[in-house]
Amino acid sequence: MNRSVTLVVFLATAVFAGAQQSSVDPQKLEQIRKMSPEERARLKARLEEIKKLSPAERERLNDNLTKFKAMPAEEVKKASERAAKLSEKEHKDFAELASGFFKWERRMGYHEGFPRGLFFQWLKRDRPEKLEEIRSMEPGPGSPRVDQFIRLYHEFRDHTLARTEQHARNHRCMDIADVQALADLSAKEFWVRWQEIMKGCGRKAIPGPVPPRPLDPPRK
Amino acid sequence: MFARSWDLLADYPAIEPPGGFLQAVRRKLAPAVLRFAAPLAAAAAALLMALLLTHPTSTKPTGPTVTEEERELVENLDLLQNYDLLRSLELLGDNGSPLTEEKK
Repeated sequence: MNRSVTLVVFLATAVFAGAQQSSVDPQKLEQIRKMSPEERARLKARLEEIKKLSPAERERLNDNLTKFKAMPAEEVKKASERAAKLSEKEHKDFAELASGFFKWERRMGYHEGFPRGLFFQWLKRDRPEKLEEIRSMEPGPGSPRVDQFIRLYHEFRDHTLARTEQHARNHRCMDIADVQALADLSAKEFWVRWQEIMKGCGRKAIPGPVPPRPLDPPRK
Repeated sequence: MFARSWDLLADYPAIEPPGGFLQAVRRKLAPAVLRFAAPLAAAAAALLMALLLTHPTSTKPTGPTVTEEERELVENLDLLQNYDLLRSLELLGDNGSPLTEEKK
């Protein structure tokens, strides 16, 4: 009986090993095997770099990867073009800024539902001087960036509320009372509820009455 | 004398078989293959699963075993190939929100 148990345990291990072996994406594996030694070494070095990152930063990268995979091809192309235009220093500055903000919002418990991308897009478009100011500040613990983040975070909330209300009036894709009720919510509740409301929109405007199409002229 | 012994034995309480005695006798009498039916069936199922999972199908690449390094690279390939973009995606993406379409 003991031998049978040993056999079953051994085979279960083989099954587990087999499952592990087959879980590797064959296309990606082939892609890696076709790479030149230099290219593969570069990826390996980058992997080691990622392994050294803090868990929070790895979480941010994975979060961005999820968003990246959901982006339409056209947006990916535009973002890649913008990235290609950045200098090494700009890349570093932007990454530090986004990473610092991510850590701050997590520490404050403000990250749930918060649209980070939209926030930075607003910052770039509406507050470019603030963006430059924050970039010039030294990052790290006790950085004056924190005060700026707090101010901008709340400013962005007010801006988003006004914009959402305007959108609701124009598109009629969500209940205006729901949007107005957002104003009474705490910072932690606001973005979660805002995301729920925005799901109702789906970028589609409710069309007005469509005029009847003129009848085709009678055939002769 | 003999009759008296029988009388004395009749007064003695009957000895009951221990629990599981009949089951043990039945197990001893059953063919060997049936005795190990359950473990054999489990082992066969596990073997079948192992064969199905370890033998590559036509869509899987044939070649040497996947190394730990290859596994790590495969699992992180999307991240590794788009690393620079992903580090700053917040500042580089469009974020396609309906709100960005609103005029001020």
